[in-house]
Amino acid sequence: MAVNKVAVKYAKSLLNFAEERKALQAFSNDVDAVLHVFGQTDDVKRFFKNPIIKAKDKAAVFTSLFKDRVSNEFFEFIALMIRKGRENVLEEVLLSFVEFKNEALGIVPVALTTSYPLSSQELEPIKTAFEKILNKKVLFTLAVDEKLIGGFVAKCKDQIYDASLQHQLALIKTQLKFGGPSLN
Amino acid sequence: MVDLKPDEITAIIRKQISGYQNEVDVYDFGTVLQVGDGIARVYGLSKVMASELVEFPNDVFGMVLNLEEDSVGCVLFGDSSLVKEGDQVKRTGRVASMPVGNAMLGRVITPLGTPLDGKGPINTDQFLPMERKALGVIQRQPVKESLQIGISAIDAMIPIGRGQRELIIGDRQTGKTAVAVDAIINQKFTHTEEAKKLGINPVFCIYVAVGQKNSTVAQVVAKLQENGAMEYSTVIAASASDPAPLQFIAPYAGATLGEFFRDNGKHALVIYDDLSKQAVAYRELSLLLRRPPGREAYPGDVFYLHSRLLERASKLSEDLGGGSLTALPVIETQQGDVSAYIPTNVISITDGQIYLESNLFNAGVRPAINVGISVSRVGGNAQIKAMRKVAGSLKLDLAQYRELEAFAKFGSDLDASTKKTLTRGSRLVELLKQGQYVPVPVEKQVVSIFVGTNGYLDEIPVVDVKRFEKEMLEFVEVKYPEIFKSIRETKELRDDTIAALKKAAVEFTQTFKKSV
Repeated sequence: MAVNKVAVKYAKSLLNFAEERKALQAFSNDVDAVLHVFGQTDDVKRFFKNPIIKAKDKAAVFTSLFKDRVSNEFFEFIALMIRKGRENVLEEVLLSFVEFKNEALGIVPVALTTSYPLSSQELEPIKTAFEKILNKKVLFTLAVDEKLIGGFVAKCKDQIYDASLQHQLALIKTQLKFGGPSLN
Repeated sequence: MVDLKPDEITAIIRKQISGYQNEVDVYDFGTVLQVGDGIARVYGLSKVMASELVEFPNDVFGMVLNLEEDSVGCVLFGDSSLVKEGDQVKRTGRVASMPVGNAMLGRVITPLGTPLDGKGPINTDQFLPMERKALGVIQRQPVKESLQIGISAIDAMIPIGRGQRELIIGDRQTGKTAVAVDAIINQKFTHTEEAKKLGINPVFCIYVAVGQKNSTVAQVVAKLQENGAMEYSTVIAASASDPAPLQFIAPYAGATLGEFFRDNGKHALVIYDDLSKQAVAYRELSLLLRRPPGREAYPGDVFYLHSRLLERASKLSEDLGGGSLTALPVIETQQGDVSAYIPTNVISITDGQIYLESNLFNAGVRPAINVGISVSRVGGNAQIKAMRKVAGSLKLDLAQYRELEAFAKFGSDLDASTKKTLTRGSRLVELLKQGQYVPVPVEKQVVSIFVGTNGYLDEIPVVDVKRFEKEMLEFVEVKYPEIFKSIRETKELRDDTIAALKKAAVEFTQTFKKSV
C-alpha cells in the first residue's frame, strides 16, 4: 500500500531492470532479504530515514550489512538511491516492488485470519477455493485472532471475505434487533 | 403480565433467524487514515461511489463526498470520537438514502430516518436516495392550484401555489417560523371531509429544522400537536448540536420525503427552517474537506447546493399523477441585509419572497410582512377568483398609503384625498394584522378584505377595526351564511354575492357604530 509517487517510480524501474536481466527471482530474493532485516528491527529503518545522518555513513552501513549478501546489481541500485538522497523511501520502494512483482506474476496476496493456527491440510481447500474465485495464484499471509471464535476472514486488496463466527453473530444480532436484512 | 411459554419464545426466535443465510459475507473495505472534526480520510474503498453511505465501527455512518487520487474524504453522521485511525470502513453499496412512507407522518425523525420521538420503530420498506435529480420540463405543468397559508396578508397579496418555492426571509425574531407553522396548521382543513367535497386535495407537511435549538424544535412540535397538525406532518430535526453533515443533508431528506408524496399523486408542503444555517454547515464541512473557499468563505457550489434542492419543488403533469411539492425555504438575514451572499442566492432561485421586517414587528404589525417588497411570481394564477377580485384594490390602496405614510405625522394641513388615502391605508394595515396559530379560511379573508377595500371601515376608529372584523364575520356567519357558502363552493365573487355582502356590511356597520 505504498502511496509515495517517488517510491512507485523507483520500484517500477527496478522491476523493469530485473525483467530485462531475466533475474526477477534473484532480485526478489534480495528484496525479501532486505525487508526481512527491516522487519526484524526498527533501528535500521529509523537509521535510513534519519535526515541528520550523512549519506556517506548510510552507504557505509548498508555496505557492511548487505555487501556480500545481495547481488551486485541490487547493491548498486540501493547505492544509487542513497546517492540521490532517496534512502528515506527505501522501505516503500521495496514494498511496492513486491506488490508490482506479484501483479506481474499473477499472484494475489491474501491476508487470512483464523481463530487458531491452520494446518497445511486445512489451508489447502481454502487456497484452491480462493484461486478459483480470484482466478489467480494466491499467496497467504497467515494470522491468528481468537476473537473470531471460528471460521476465517480473508482480506484481498479492498475486499473482505468474512466467514467468521463473530461476524455471523453480529449479523444475527442486527437481524433480531431490526427484523430486517443487514446493511450489507 | 402476559404469560409466555419458553417454547413460544424459542419459536419466535427461530422464525426471526430462519431468513438468515449462512454464507460468506463479501464486502469492500477501507482503512481510516485520519479522523477529526466530523471528517474522515479513508484509504482503500477503490470502487466507492460519490455520496455513497459507508459504515464505520460502532454504528457510525458516513457519506463519501470527496474522491481523491489515493484517498476518499467522508463526512461522519455520528460522533467522530467513536472512530479511530486504522479502523475498518465498510461500503454499503447504496447512496445516502432515507426510508419513506406514510408511516413517517406524525413522527419526529433524524435526517437519516431514525425516530427521535420515542414512539418505536417506523415501519417502512421503501428507500429513496436523498440526492435526486429534479424533474425536467416535460414532467411538469404550471402552478395552478392554490395553497392557502391562512394568513390574510399572504393569501391576498403574495399568493402561493402548489408546486411553488416561496422564500420567507427576515431578521431574527420577526416571526419567520410562525408563518411557516401557521401554514402547516392551516392545511388541517384540506384533510377534512368538507375539503374533499370541494375538490381540495390534502396537503402533507414536512418541517425541516436545521441548526436550531432542540427546545425550539420541541416547541414547534408541541404547537403542531396542540393544533392537531401532527397527524399529517413529519418533523425532520438536525439541531445545532448535531454534526454539520447531518445539518447539511437534512433539507435533502425533507425533499425526498416530500417527493414520495408528490410522486404518488399527493400534495406536500416542505419547510426548510433555515437554509442559512444549512449553508453554514456546508461551509464547515467543505472547508474541512479542503475545498477552496470563495465569497464569505462559502465554497463555490453553495449556489448549486440550494438550487438543486429548491428545483425539486414541482407540480407534476397529469400523466404523472398531478402531485405537487411546495417549498417554503426560510433565510435569516443579519440586520436586514438582503444583499449578503446566501440571501441573494436564494432570492434569485425562488419564485418570490415574503419579507418580514423587525421594525414592523416592533410597531405591532404582526405578521410583520413588508408587502411593498414581498412578491409571488407564479402564485397569482393559483389564487381563487374571488380573492383576486378583492385583492387587486387592496394592493393599490396599500401602495398609495405607504407613499403618503410619512405625511401622516403632519396631520391637519393635508388635502381631503390624501387624508382619505391615509384613513383607508391605516385601517387596511390594521385589518391585515392577525394572531399566531389562528389561520383564517379563504372565504372569511375575502369578506374582511372586501369590507376594508370598499370603505366600510373608514368611519370606524383604528383601534376598533379588529373587533369590527371579528363581529362582522360572526354576523355574516349567522345572518348571511350563503355568502360564505357561495365563495367557498364557486370560488368566485358573483354579483348577487356582492350585493348580499354590501347589504350585510351596511346593516352591520349601523349596529356597530352604536357600540363605538
